[in-house]
Amino acid sequence: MACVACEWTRTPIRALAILGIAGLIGTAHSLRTPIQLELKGAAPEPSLAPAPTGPGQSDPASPREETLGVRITLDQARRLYDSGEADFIDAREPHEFQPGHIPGAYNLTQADFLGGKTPEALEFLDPARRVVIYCGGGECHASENVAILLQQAGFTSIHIMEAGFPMWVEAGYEVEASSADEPEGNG
Amino acid sequence: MMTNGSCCATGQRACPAIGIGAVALLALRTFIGGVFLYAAAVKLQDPQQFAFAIRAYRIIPDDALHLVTLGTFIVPWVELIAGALLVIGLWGRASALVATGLMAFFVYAVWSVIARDLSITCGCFGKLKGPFGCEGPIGACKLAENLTLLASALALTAFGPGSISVDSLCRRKAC
Repeated sequence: MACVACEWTRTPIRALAILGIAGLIGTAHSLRTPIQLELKGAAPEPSLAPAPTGPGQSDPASPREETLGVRITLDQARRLYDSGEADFIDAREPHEFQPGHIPGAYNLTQADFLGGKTPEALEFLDPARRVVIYCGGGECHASENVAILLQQAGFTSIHIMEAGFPMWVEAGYEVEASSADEPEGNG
Repeated sequence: MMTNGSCCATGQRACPAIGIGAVALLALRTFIGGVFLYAAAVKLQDPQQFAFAIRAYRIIPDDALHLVTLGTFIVPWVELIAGALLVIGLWGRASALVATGLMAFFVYAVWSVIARDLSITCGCFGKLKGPFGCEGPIGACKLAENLTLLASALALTAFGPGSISVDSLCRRKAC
């Protein structure tokens, strides 16, 4: 007969051994494989030089006049939208994107990068141009995650519109809808 | 069916009967082990996505991101090792105990997401669905799926891997 008491004594020891082995392998794996959990630094400012509208003057409304960090306000995002200096990326899920989004925005979620794949929308985006990413606002992490993935894909001028889409709508700015069979990026 | 020639003829141990219980335990082990192996493979294939998924649960504070990094790599390796051991039935009870602990933590995580009304996806199986086919943000379906896996792992811890397992073979051969 098998020793029942021995079995129950051995079980927790073996369970701890499994956890220990997994812990060691996992720790070693984490040292060999870098992952990024936070955005790297501030976005470079390739176009910070004032854009003069006349001799010695500049347009005070132009976003070129101010230093834009990674996180930007609704007003700053709106100025980039008006000036056409940036591509907009909606990081919400497709079922949230389709009923309403910023006109011309591409729908790009972190799931589109699953398995190290390059999303189709990246073919239409220029890594050297500014991109403004937004999600549902508040505490949503989707924008930040997509921003990290875009940094890894070589994008250098990334901004996050912290207010999110709800504040864009609340401000009375333009919104467009798209159907499910339309391409996810319509910029 | 196992014949007497494979074990009892050695004269060391009585050959255990292979009844419906043993087959049920084998099926249960294969089911949980397979789910764990698949979940581990998805996570190890794309650790960046799993790291995002862990952060989205907001259980680990932002000033302890090193824990997210460790969890990103240790959890799938625990799943991989426990899953493989469950499938072959080696250290059956111990691997079932580990699976039980892991599932208990997952149940807590899912319950806390529902309680805090967060709208996040599970991150458990990448873009594919789990055994219950749950879709969209975490909700009652995912909680039911995890509770089922927890109950299954608990049953295996209580009943052991059964007679169709490496453990049973080892006992008969006194290895």
